[in-house]
Amino acid sequence: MGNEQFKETFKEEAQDYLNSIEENLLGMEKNKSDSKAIDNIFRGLHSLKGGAAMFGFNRVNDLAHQMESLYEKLRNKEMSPDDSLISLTFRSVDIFKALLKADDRLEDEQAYKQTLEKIETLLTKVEGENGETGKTKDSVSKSDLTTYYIYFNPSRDVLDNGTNPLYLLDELMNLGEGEVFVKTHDLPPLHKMDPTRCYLAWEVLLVTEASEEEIREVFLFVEDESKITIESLAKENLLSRESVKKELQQVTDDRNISVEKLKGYAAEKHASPRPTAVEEPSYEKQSIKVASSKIDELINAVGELVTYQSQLSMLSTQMQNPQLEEFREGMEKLTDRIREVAFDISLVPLKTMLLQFRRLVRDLSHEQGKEVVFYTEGEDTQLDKTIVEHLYEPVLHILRNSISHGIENEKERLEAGKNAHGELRLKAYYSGPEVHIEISDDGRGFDFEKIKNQAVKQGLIDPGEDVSQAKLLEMTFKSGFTTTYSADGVSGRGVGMDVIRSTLSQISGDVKVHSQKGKGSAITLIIPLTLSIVDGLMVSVNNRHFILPLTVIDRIETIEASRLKKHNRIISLKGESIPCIPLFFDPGSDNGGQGSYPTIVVNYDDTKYGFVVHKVLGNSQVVLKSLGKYLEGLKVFSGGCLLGDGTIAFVVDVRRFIEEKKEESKTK
Amino acid sequence: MPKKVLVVDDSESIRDVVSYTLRNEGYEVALAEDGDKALDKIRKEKYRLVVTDLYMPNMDGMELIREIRKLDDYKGVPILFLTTESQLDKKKEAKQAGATGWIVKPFSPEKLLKALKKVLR
Repeated sequence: MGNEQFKETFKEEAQDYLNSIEENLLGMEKNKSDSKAIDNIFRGLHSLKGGAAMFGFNRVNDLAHQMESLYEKLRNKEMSPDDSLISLTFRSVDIFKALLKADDRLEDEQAYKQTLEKIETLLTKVEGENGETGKTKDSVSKSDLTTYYIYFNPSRDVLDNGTNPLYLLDELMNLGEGEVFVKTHDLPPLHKMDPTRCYLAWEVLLVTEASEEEIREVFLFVEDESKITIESLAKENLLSRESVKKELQQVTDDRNISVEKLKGYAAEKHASPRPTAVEEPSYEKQSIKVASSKIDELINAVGELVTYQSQLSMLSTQMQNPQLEEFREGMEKLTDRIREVAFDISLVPLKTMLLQFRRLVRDLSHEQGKEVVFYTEGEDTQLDKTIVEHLYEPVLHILRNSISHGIENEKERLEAGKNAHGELRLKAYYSGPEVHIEISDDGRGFDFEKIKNQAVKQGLIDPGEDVSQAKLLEMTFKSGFTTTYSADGVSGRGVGMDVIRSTLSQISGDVKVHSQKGKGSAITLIIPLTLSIVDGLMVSVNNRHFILPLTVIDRIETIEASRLKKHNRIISLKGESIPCIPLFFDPGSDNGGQGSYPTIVVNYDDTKYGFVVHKVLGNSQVVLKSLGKYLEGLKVFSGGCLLGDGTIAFVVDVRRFIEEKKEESKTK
Repeated sequence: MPKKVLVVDDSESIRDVVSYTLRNEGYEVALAEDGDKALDKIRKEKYRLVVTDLYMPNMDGMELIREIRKLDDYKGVPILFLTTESQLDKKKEAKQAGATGWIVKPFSPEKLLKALKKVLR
């Protein structure tokens, strides 16, 4: 609401600037040496640029910036105006008008780009002619590192005004790299110390591309009352010199950095036997960009490497050749390391996707005339790249639902005794082998009446049936289930909760809903950390192999066959009553049932379950492959994998397996 | 918990721009149109930062800053004031009154946030 209002004001102002530019352009056309007209145009462009940046008209800003540079050259007589320049300016004015009208959106991308390119060409041409400017610019952009000495001694009462000197040091260190030495010699004895005073001073060696002016800017708010020295020591990275490193080790609370000495080192030739090229890289770029397709390729290759590795291990165990054994061990370690690194590379922080959601929340809430504040937490939580791609749709849908159906309008909220603005939270955190993303709002919550009616309509429950709220929420996930909302153009374009769940199950995840009428709702997406490589325990049943993910396994127990038959499958193990499920076999008619069964105890949903098997074969690291089209229906498996000897093992999806068993026992 | 910031300015458009920018960054923003109203709010609630204009009807920014610094609760709370470029003497006066720093008008969102980051994390 307010946003629109001040945007409108800017648009009106901008129109004035453009009118003035046009007027002066016409004057310039008549008299090309009209320096006053050039000045006016320059000023108009400048104001336009400033406002555009402030109100989010990025394209206007970019174009105005370029035009401004052009007119600066005109003002400095580095170039002279001609007809083509004037018509270029007219064209820009037209584009500005169109952009302002369409809120910085583009009708004609081509014309915009062409104009920008034209200005660019003109600018480079002028800079090429004035060789000097070109050169200095070049050497600046080459960004020579300079080592600065900075002394910062804030006044004693610096804290009174709410200044935190540590923030300033942080800001300083963000300019480059270096070392900070705290000076405590002014610190009085404890009984004389006033905790509201600042007794500390700092010496800093900073290696940066920034200019002295930029460094001084850090201390902008405190420069008047602080003692600040900024001195350039050398046009190089002094900290990479061994002699300087040694010197700095001598610096203590009381012993200051010797500026003269350091300057002296700069004059020295690099005496160290190692060539400078080896010492410099610490200030090279810390990261490089890599195409994501290459990462996919790497992960695939590592996947195959892991498979071969396990084949090798198996072979080696069979052959019992000590030499081969040694070789295997080395390979195994190396494969592990490569796997870990590759896995790490494929992780991206959630932050990367949050930006667009922030924008979405803002736009949607404006559209609906609701004020919604969006909080995010755990932005640094890292997830597998491919998983993040799958999350976009579900999160988008949940946010849309919250804004258009969950959060009430201001009037309704005030009547309900809530804040005028709605709150929307996205919280991500690690939980064991999973990442949880919780999206909650303080809106009106799910309408259980509506859900119930719909459930009755779809024949899921009987009209008189007493159904718990949890169960009703669960029903919203049923395929095709939707409660009326639609037609508002925002939510419910045939996409319901069922889609959220099915998208998540594609990545072996799950979703949970909590809602309280009138208080709001929370939807939690549960996502596995990784998809491709599973650390598992290999077990066998009737000579078929299965893998259980290690992450859910609590321990392994042994159950006598007789107990399994007697106790209706809930068996007390070390004082805990644990439901025990035979993994794909019937203990009643099982031949191996005379003795005892190994039982894998797993944790699921804060409850323990036992998976009864025939044999435990040992730890195994496998690469998960999808089961393919024909076996897709086997939901209890998250995939299959190829074992060293060429046989196939199924990876059990513990969550689904347990849920399925629960369903089965209910229907019985 | 989002950090609460109080923005004081008699111009609605400035209030809008500042609150819009800050909310986008995840701050919680409260608004007041003059010093009197700001002080009422400040006495009721503790804000992590106050951003105020200097020229306002009723109680102006300078007086507001002095009043805020009299409150025990607000000893170390940063206060930024909005100023136009030429008023160097105003900068000094405001700093003496207890301001932490300033934001020069006109400002872009980047500039505003840059100043803010100097005093609030």
